[in-house]
Amino acid sequence: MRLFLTLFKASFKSQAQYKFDFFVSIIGNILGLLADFIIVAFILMRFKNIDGWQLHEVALIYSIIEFGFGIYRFIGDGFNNFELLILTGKFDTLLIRPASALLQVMLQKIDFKRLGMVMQAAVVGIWGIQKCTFVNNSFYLYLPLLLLASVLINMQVSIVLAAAAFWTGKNEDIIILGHYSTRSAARYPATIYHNIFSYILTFIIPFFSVSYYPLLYYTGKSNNIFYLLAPFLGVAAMTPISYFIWNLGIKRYSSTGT
Amino acid sequence: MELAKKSFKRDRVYLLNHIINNIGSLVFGYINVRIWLAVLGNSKEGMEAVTYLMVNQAGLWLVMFIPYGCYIPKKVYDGSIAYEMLRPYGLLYGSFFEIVGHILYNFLFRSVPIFIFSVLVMKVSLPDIHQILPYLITLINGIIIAFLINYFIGLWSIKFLSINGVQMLYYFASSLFSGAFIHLKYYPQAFKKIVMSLPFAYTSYVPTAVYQGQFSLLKAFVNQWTWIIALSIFAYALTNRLSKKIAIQGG
Repeated sequence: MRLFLTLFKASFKSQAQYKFDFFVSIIGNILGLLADFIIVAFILMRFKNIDGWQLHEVALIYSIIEFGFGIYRFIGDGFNNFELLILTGKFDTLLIRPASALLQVMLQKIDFKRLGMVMQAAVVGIWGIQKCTFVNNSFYLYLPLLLLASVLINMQVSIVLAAAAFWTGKNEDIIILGHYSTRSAARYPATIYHNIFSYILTFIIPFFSVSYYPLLYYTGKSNNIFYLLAPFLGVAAMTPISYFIWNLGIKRYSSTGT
Repeated sequence: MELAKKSFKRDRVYLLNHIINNIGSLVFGYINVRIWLAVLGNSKEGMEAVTYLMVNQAGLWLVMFIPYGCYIPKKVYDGSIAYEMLRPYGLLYGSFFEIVGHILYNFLFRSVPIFIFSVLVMKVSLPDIHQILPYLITLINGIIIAFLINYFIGLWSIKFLSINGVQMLYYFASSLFSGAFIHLKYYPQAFKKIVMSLPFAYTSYVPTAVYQGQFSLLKAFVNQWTWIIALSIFAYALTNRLSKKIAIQGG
């Protein structure tokens, strides 16, 4: 925890040094991804629903996924730029330190501008919640867990994809395919896609477990209460998988070192 | 032209990564297509939307996903910008040809494969034979406009060093105002007016509307060149001003 706090302060100081640029970065992060939602809002203002999902319901799905992504980018920026550590050989220095390499990569930098992403997700989500009639106390109790699961799934998917750099060196494109495109897909109801694609987002990169399935139950589109467990099953399945792949990568990395 | 050749070759090294990236791009296109098919159904309008979206998706690699700031931020970061200033040609000219090589690469290895896949698998309509040349002309104009906008991001990096924020703002503006992910006819009328008075729509919406025979070539051409001339003058003036600043900083 002390390590985290020291890093937190250092990151903040260095990023807030150029105030104007820091300010523009926050604004950029608020707006950057919002365009995707505004476009969908325009579509839904005209056509009223996508496969039976209203705009405010899609807003809620969107905000849960993007909130998780925003928090992950806030604290896990190191995974996103992991290829730099591998390509420059800096990863070696992390391996000889006493703390876990996974933790060190995660805490490379706290990226404050990503709070802009979190803010836009929160605003869209709060707007959605206000319009949704199904929201009750149990939803408010469930929501923090759902958001936490979204952060964890985003983090776990990114660990797996960061680990790909142990084999491939450069992995930026793998991240775009494996994380960004699938995350974007999970912002909309699963029924609009072909079955194979929905299966991939349910069982392989389980983003639907924190977006589509829980909301399917809450919006009353399904009575299956089992769907509320989906986020926990998703996280529980991804934890050993991401840990295993990461460790496998480290082993491979050590064996190719000099 | 040597600069263009060099940047083409530089991209060529990462062909495998770009193939993965193309699959990613197809997934993004697929998501948009499925949203539109969900609201419009398998109708004539629905299929027109699919064509519109996928032609844009292929074109994104020429008009949106060009290196942010036209390689300038990288040069600012590693200091090589100082040498750029010493070259016999200007920064604007040099950046343009560097981008030309990159665009040519993207056209061959990204846009064309995505377009062919879209035609074969996603049933995207081919353009009317009389629209092919007008489409290519408006696309090239669109590329020049996109280059100039990205060049401003490059100039931003000279002044403010970091471009993360402005890069996100650019992504926001180009996603929302270019019409790359939604045909402008689905925008509210007032919003469409705003969009048509900004340069972004002339990079994506206009070329693709010409492709589909929904926009006159003459009108497209006049408007695009007005933007190109205005942005070029502004870029030239701003480059001169900032070049002087750099000299002062260098002492």
